[in-house]
Amino acid sequence: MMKEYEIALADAYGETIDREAEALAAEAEKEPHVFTKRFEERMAELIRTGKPNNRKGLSKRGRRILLIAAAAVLVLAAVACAVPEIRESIGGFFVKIFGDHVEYTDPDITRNSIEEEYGLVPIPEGFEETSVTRGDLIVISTYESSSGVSLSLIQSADPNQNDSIDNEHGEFFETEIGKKLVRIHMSDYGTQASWIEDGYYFSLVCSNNIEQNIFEEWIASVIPQ
Amino acid sequence: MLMLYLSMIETEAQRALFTDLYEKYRFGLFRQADKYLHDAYDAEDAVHDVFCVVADEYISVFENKSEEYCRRFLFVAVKNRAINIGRKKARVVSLDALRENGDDLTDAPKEDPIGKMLSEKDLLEKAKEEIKKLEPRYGDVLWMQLTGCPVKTIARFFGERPVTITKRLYRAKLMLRQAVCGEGGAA
Repeated sequence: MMKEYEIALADAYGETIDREAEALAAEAEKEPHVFTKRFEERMAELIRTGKPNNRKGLSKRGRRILLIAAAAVLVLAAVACAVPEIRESIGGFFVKIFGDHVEYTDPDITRNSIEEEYGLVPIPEGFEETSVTRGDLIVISTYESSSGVSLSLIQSADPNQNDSIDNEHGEFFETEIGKKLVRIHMSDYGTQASWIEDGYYFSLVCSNNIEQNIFEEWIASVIPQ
Repeated sequence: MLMLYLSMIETEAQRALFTDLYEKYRFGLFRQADKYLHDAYDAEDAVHDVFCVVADEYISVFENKSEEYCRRFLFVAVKNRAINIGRKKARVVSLDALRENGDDLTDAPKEDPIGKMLSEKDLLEKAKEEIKKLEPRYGDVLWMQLTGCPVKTIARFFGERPVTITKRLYRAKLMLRQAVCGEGGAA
């Protein structure tokens, strides 16, 4: 039960809150914000079920990190150990295997530029393409779902393109999908696939751990747009 | 790890109240958050986060309060949530924030600095004026507690640790006491 002085003080300060709230409401009325579809859907679900959809979409900063990681290296969970490297060639990639991670370089990139753009066709259900970043040698397409899952597709003609994966965490394997020989890494931190096709390097990165068969369907749907 | 959120919106009346508050105040609340974040995406997140906590543990409290209280509560919660989101993203952290988030035990609260003082009527009138002059950081958290919101719940709404809220409350009360009586202000 609130004491008398607590009520009095709260009411007094409440006037300050009201003034600010009224001013903000007036500003909002002059220029109402157009809420994003993502926000509207999350709020609709919260109202409908009373439960938050806790899988938030990435913030701008998070999306940039995802893109940088996808463009350069996979997320590593451990520091490299000082063990002799082993070089192998797997699926057209030169592979350096260290104690706790593996690095790949791609000598089979034969293109000098992006001559035709690839994309996910069709876009997976529930996703929409939210951005396409183009450089001379690279195209990065980002797709997001209303439940907060992000996909990043990289198409690169950069001969210096390389990847690393953390081979201590998660599962790494190679598989054939259509005519593509694809490396897939699946962990709690996300899912990534890399392959060479038509002289380009491709990488598909998902922000979540996703079922393998679904991920392989998405890989198969990467075709010229 | 899969986290399960149990819905605390248990009745249609609660759902109607929740929806009503959201529909009435969402534009103003967005403005509140965006004022501090200058990023529509983050501002929407701040608004959504606060409504999540309302749905999870506070809608039953709102049912027994006036609309005026609910509106004030939402604006204070969204503002402080947004400030905290912005602070976490910023590279420069204020000294106050460092102090509150640190383990400085000399700042640990021992007893309520204002309880005894405010039982005296003449000092209460002065306190009512002085509380309006507190920095929002201190005024907001003090208002939350004065209206019965537990420290743990304030922390959840603001996105802070409970110990941070406890320290901020203590400092707020010391400042108020200093302003009213001129004694024992916060260092």
